[in-house]
Amino acid sequence: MLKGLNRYIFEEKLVTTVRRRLKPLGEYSVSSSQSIIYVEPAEGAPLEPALAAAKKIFGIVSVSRAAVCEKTPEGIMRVAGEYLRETFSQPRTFKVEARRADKRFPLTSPQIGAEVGGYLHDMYPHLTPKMDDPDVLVRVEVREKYAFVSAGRTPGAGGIPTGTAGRAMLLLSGGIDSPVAGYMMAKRGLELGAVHFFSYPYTSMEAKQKVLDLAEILAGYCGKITVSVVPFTEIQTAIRANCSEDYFTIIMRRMMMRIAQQVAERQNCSALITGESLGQVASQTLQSLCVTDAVCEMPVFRPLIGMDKDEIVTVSQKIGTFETSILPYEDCCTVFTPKHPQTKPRPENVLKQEEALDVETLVNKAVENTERITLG
Amino acid sequence: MRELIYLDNASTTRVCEAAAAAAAEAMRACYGNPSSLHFMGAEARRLLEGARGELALALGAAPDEIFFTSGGSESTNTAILAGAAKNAFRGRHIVSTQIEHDATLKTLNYLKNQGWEITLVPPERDGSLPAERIAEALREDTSLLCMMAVNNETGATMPYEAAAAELKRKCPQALFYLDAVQAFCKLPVNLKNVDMLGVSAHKIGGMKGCGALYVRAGLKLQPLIHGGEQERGMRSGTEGVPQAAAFGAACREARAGMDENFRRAEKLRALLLASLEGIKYTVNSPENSSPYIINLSFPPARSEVLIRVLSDSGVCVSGGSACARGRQSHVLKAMRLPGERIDSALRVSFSPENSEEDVARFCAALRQALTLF
Repeated sequence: MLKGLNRYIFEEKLVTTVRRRLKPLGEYSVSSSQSIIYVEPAEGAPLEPALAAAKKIFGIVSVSRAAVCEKTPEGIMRVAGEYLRETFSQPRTFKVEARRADKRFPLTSPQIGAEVGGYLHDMYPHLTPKMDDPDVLVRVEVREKYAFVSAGRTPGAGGIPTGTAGRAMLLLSGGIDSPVAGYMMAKRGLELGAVHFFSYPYTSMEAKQKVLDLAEILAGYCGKITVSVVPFTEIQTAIRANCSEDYFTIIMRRMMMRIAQQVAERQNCSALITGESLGQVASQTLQSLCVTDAVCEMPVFRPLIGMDKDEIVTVSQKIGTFETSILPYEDCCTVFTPKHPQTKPRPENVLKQEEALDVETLVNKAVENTERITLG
Repeated sequence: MRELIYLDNASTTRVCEAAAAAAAEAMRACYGNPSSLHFMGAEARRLLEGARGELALALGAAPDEIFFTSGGSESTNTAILAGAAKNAFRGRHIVSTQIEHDATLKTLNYLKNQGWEITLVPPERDGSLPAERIAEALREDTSLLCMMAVNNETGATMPYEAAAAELKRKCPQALFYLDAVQAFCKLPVNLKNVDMLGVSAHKIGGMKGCGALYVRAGLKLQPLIHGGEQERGMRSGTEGVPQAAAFGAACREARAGMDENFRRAEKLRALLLASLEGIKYTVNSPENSSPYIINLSFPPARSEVLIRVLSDSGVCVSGGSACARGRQSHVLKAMRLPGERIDSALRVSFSPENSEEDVARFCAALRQALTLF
């Protein structure tokens, strides 16, 4: 919940976001008043896709579908009675709340509430009016051209409008975790960029396409995402040729962080996001994370750090990335996976191992040759 | 433009010129429905029966023992399901091997779920499968034995003649189905004791979507597909005349060149092995394999990476079978090969169109690809 004077900034941002997301679907007029955003489809613009899109926009607490009525007290009552038939098929408590933007309307807001409430009670005698915390809150809105009736809301995506918290760079693999991490941070208002490390020919074009598909799904929630595809083969082969096997993964992670950070800076991102979860694999032990973080100057957000795998899977199923994540294209070739990776790497050993690599040249070259693909 | 080197002929082949011409004629000129009474129907019928005659010649069968199908998988499904149904009253036990094609294994699994008992004989570690192993699995209530003539992943030749003879001795009423997809028109096929046999057109220069089922004269089977009673009721649906005509033409060509092509494949295989000198590899194909297919492992490389890199230089080969994308080969697993050999396996398969130059270029590209590991 946001309070104070900056609230309007968030709301304006949100209205802009809603307009942009609905634009490809058809013509809609989008307006806001008193923390409610009204979407009115123009002739022929479909409502269902707009509803689905709205449910994915962060910063929206709930979404409801309103019925349009003729702007007369009788018109409102008739439509309200029809519209609520299903909602009121069972005994429930209810309350009618009215607002009028058009002050020329013959009834005041409390009068509308009372009239419509009375009408509904006559029509559905098993209902009980209840002013405090009713089962069903019926809203009547008298606007310039029409009036609306709405009731029953479905939860929105929640969170904070995308972009109000700044920009961050997500390390996106083809796995289950990283898309979830991106989703969670976007929910807190971050605009996302993504960086993917691509090891062709050790990994396939399908694996890359899978990452782009995941980014596309994420873009449904957090808007446009630019994926920076970093050529990583040379670095992996250099590590394999020069470092000892048990350190492959940790050194690879440090290289990824260095590159991600540079890519992030170039794209005005001020933090990194990873899908790491404590203790999940060798590179995600506390010692490994410390060694990885040592190369980062930016904050690294790890929203999954305290989550179990099944909790992460649940979110990925909810947001629709799971099915794509489990496609059998590996994001990292097993050729580079040590049989017995270090779980407790010592910083001094890592530094010593890295002496065999021309870290700066390798990193710069990878950053220079990055391919950028924008989705959403 | 990179030059194409196609060494994945066990997956499918280029349609040969004669087959393409036959199909084109059937599509453009003789496009009638073979069931029609007018002269266009008669011409199409003539093409269809001509093709059937070619297949019969190649197999040493009578034309009315040949039924066109949509391919090897349909032939196998029909033979197993119809064969099993036919003999269900004698016993509900079927013998096959662990290294069959999925068309066989999945169909058998379907029957298993219907209550049939299935015995799958494992191969030896070298990929061969002695007839005695199969004989041991036969029981009094065995009603069907199905196996392939040549394994599609390793090229191993199966002792189907001995197995079929043993079946007829032990269970005279049981039926024998031979999956001859990788043998047809490449190696001689012996129909003795064979009740049903399946072949596929696109493995020998015909078109995809076409195959045939041989059913021994006198054996009446229930069809899988019901309808307009085409193929004498065995396989309803308007006949794919262009596909059948192409199959006939490909078959004629392959049959005429069979001995020469065989020797050529032997030469290419020998050249391939000789050219691999200095590379660390193992051969997963047993002795006496079909020369058309050779399966090799290059640990610690990974098949999928090798295939990708070879493909970038225009060379097409496959890992296990082309159907089994991304899965470990069930054939190599059944041979109990170590994981790193299974994961690094490549299948090279020849056609009469391949040259020594192809083999040399493959070996050069492979050497290059192996430097990645």
